Amino acid sequence: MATREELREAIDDYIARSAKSERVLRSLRNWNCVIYFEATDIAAGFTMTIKDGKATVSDGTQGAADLIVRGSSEDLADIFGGDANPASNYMQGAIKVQGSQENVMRLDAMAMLIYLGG
Amino acid sequence: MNNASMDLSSESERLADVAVIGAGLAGLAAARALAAAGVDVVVLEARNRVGGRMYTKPASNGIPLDLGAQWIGPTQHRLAALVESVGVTTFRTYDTGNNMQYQAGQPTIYSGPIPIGDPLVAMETVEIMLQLNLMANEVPLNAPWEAAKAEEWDTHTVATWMENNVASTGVRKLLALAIQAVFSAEPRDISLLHVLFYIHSAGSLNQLIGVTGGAQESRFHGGAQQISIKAAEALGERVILNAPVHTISQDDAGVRVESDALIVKAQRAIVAIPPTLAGRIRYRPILPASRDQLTQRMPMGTVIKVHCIYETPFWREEGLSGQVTSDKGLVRISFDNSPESGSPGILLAFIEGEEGRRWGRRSAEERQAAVLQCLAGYFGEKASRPFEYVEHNWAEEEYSRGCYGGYMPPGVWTNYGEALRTPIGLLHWAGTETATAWNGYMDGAVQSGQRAAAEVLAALGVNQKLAGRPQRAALHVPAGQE
Repeated sequence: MATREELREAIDDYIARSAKSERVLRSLRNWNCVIYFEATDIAAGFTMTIKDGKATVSDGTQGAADLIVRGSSEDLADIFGGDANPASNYMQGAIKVQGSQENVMRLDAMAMLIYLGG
Repeated sequence: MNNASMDLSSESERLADVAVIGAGLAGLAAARALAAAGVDVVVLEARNRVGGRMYTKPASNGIPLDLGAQWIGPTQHRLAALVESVGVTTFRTYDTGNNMQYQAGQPTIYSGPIPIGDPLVAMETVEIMLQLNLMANEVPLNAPWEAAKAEEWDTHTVATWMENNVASTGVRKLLALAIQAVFSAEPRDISLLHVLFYIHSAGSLNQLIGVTGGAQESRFHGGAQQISIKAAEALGERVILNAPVHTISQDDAGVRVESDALIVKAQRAIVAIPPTLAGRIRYRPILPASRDQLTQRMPMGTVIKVHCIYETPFWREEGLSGQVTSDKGLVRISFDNSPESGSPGILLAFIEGEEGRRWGRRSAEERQAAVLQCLAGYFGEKASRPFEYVEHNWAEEEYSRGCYGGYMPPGVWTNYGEALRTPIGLLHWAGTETATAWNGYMDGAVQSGQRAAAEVLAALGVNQKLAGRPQRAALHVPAGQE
């Protein structure tokens, strides 16, 4: 299990890495999306806002989300920390994503690019 | 010649409200919907079996082998509903352990749907897949020719698009492999617009190529053909085997469908076979040029599907999933196709596209030797010694003439697309090639059959809400006045 603070730290680190990656920035271009991440086992939530090619994060819910991503704190931390292949079979079962096809495919691509080293 | 239908003389006539040509999944789905609405329907099937491109044959030990279609995945809701209603159950495709990617004969190990052995190639692959997915979203499923860039995209093949848009050779090879695996044809054969339409109809390229979470996620206990067999059993004597249709005539009196076994006179007909087969039927009067020329321009893919059966799935002991992708060799894609119990071990190997064309011309013995040598290269010497080898070349099937489906080369969607589904007089068109969701898949076949049935019910004035109640009285409207 990861704590709320550890998870937030992993997300902050994830955003910092995404801002340094040309490929990730290319994949974020023309994409505006509010993503709500919920760690179901520790009742912690974070909102990632992607706007004008930049990602920012805040605690809790910030209005209506375009994408909702749910999973255990450990699985979410593994993905944000780059320790787990987000496309792996395990993650496909462990992480539940709700949202439009386009938003899901963009999030998939962003997560894979960061995992692969951006 | 022992089938009951062969006892019928060529003069036999049967009256029905609707004739359906083809007892593949599309024709059966159409007939189910029509029968449920109380419509008198007759299904004429050319083969001595139902199921079309779904064909399950037992191995010598009785294990059912799917020689044709075999998978169901998430979002294939129409197929899932049919499967449930006929009482067929599913199990997960074996997707545990490492996959292998062979490049120039050298293996790398990976997990997940995208080979990640070379991170730079993997990252560009992710970017290209996203680009294709986003382009695909711009293709209207009901009318791909209305996409803002339809003309441009329908001028390109996937190969010419890759030349201009994909820098890395490694990514080009991976994308080529995906095209071969999904269409059993080559990137140079297929219109970019068709590929984008196809991706959109499935949801995404990731869903098309994926096992867990994708189109290859689950299989059917007893084999996929069970679905068609059970659907046909429920239709009973409405389904007539060994009845290849050779002529369809229509006039003010209705439709006359002539087969080798009998003639069916009906108010409407649904032609539920691939366009290229539909083009081999004689029509009176002749069909409009746009429809006829469409059927001249939708070739079927080329695939030889091979099952190699071993005492055990020995690759699992080495932590392998049985899934291989390779940039060369006659077998470039393999899966673990063992039964749910894991015994015996079965490797499924595909010979697709150009390799299918080339190796289809060779003798069965040469082909078998080459396949086993190829598998031994991937999985070790043990793979060269299956106790049974079963292959099926779909291009040699008279009533399929290829698999997995008919595809569109450049220029076809934009010049002929409207003719794909538009009814002509009393004739309606079904078949997975006409589907807007999961085109080319069993789910698309079901959608197409249900859509054609709905067209017919509307034309005949049958209220679908009264499905299941006799509606014959509503049907006796003189043809042409509906």
